[in-house]
Amino acid sequence: MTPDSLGEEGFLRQVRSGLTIRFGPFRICLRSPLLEAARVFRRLYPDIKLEKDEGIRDFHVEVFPPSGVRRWWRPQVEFRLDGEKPFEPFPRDHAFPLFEWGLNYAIATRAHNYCLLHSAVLEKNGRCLILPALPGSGKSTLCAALMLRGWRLFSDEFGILQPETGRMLPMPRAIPLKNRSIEVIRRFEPGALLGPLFPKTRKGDVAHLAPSRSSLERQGEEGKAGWIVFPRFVPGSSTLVSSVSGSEAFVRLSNNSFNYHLLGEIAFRALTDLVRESECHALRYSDLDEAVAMFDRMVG
Amino acid sequence: MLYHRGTGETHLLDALTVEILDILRSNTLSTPTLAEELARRCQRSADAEWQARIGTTLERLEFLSLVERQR
Repeated sequence: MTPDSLGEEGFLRQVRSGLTIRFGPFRICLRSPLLEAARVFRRLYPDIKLEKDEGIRDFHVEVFPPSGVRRWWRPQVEFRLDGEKPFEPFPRDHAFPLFEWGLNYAIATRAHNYCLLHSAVLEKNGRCLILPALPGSGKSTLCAALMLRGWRLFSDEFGILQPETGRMLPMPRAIPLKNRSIEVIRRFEPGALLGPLFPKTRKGDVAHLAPSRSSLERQGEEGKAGWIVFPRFVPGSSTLVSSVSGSEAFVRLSNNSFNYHLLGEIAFRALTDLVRESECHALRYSDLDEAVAMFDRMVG
Repeated sequence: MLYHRGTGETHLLDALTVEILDILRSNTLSTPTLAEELARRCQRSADAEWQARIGTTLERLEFLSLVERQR
């Protein structure tokens, strides 16, 4: 069963009563009476498999209008995680971005059985490309472009490293494109499946790019480490790749992890192995087509 | 790279510091004796400049709780 196969009415009913979905290693129960947010979800995840509403759910997520006057006057929406409200309410028409950010918050603050890197991850030929997210890196744009050119999306936001196995775990979700990146991706791939524009959110204008169908279908398939590339978008720059030493890659990765200090030695060992198994580079780029071609050459 | 279980901190060390920790892992030495042993390993003289460099490095390592001064 998928959102598409349920039809719009059936899907909206299901979201109102509680929908169980899997994003990579996590099972999520989502409940919301907000039709507009559910419609966006269905548009961006038409083929995600809906699971039976039973068994353990890692996160119980609710996106609800608050009670009281704000239900009607400048309507708002609240995010609830396992019954708690970690954020101030958002404007009602930002319900879908709130769901996505709220779920990121849930994972970043609770999924400490994994070493969580703040990075995009994609896969080709069984090996993963890790793109750590440093400010100004253009990580989401690059990630979107690679997915649109056939790379399998693991995640735009989380590198989920399983310490016991050293494998990266996929969690393909919609990619939130911000501000100018929205138009850049529209031009890069006019057929890209984008959700509605959410203007003036807390992160600027946002539109979500749907994960590719194959990424969702294969979200149970883990990947080996392959490359760690620190991207930097520099307007007008040519595409330049340079080597990064293992120790520098380690420092940059660990500083960019959500839970390195919390996991301590477990994360140290996991990241040390990850860096040893990977080729580490820095990339300076401005042209998306050139950057994608460079990554395709790198894979060989 | 070094992970220190005692503090939970990770350190990026240069080659000389790794040598110092390697020696002190199984021995307690005075600063001049340690400087002489390191000079021998590095094939150089244990002159005053070298002694001062080793002393400064030991102070930094003590600050990071990676070595302990015997009183």
